[in-house]
Amino acid sequence: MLKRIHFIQLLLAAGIVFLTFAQAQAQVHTLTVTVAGMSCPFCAFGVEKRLKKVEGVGSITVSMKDGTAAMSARKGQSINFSQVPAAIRKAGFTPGTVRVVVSGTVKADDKQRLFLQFDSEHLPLAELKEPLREELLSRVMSGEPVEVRGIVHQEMDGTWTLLPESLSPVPK
Amino acid sequence: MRNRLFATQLAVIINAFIALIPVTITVPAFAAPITLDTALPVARGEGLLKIQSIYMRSTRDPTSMDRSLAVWAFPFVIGYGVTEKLALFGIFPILDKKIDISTPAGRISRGDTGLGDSTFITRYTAWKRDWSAETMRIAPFVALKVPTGKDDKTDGQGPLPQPIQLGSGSWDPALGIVATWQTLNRQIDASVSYAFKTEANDFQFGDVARLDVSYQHRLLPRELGEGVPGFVYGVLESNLIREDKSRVGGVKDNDSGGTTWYLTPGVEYVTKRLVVEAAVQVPVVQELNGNALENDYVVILGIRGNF
Repeated sequence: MLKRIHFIQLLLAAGIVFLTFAQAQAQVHTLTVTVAGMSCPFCAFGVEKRLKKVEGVGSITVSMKDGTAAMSARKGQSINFSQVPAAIRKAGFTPGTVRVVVSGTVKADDKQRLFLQFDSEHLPLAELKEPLREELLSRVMSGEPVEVRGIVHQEMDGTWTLLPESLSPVPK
Repeated sequence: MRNRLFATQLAVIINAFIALIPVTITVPAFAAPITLDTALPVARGEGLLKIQSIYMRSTRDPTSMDRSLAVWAFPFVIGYGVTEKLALFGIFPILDKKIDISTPAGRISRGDTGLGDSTFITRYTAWKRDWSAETMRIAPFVALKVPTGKDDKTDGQGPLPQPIQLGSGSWDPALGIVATWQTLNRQIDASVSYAFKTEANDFQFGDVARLDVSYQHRLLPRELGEGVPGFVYGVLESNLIREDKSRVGGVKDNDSGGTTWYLTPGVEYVTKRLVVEAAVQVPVVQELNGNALENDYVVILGIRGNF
């Protein structure tokens, strides 16, 4: 009886560890946004200041040459990418392409539409081409978490979609 | 009677060459240009603080009175981005005005030191177009100079003439528009403005129209590396200023107002948080009315930061 209790406790502990690990891995790790119009160092400050207010943003590196701002997430947090374009606009500039590295689990709904589940978000995957689509479908079957590099894009109706460019296993 | 006549003559002479001082010190720059405004944005919630040190000297006197004028101005500029399009600025100048003049009674010196008239400016970005590492913007602005400077200072000669006072006592509105084109390598700003002067203490400065253009060229670094390096800009600015005649007791002062064209070479060091600048305004053309004293030069040093 005692052995059985220990076994259950062990299972519970393992489950908690697994869930914690999955939660820690399921997030937007890095984000790079192009900032049109940013062409002097003094202007870069306003961009940085607004981006620091975006949820989950840890460090920011602005590149004048490339006209981009690259962000890394705070430890254990996810960058709220949907706040990024508004932050750029509040700095007085025009947001461009938003590229992310996000890890999560690929899932499919009953109409075989794919989406990436991470944190509490379901991010639809759009403009899928072979062999990327095939690879994503295999991830649905296996249920393994995956790291997706791609562009997040806001549709006309305000919803966000992810245009995957590449996949890779979640680094351990 | 003779003393009274002399005092009147002195006041008129002083009026003549003090008249252009407020023009120089009430139109400071907030961003890249040194002697004019820019249309570049102030981010929502971002603050700017700028301090300039301006020294203006006028000694080229065509008369035998050997007039000499020196003005130090330290305008403190605070800016705040209410929204990404709407920015508010307040300018609070500390002034030191001193005039030396030869009189039959000997050389006399008059002047005062303290807070001058403050100016509040509202600027709105009405149009913008952004490209990769390039932007173009147009922003109209309105301003109001309020009489925070003392305007009733007296010395041993009696009340200081109005232009020597730190404040004018008048509420003067102004409006203008500024356009900016900026790339990583260069920036051009152009501004047109008009200041309406109102009457106070029986004195009225002439209205002022300005056409300002600034060109800034990145000298260093020659090749851009990663991150946000500090930029060194070479700056060349042009300030064309037309001032109407002042009115004393409702009568036009024929020794005041005129047209001045300055060329302003300068240099700027711009980082993410700080701008340090230096420039010299050299009067190229001075078509001043009557016996007005011409400016020799204006030296401008400035530092600004954001928070």
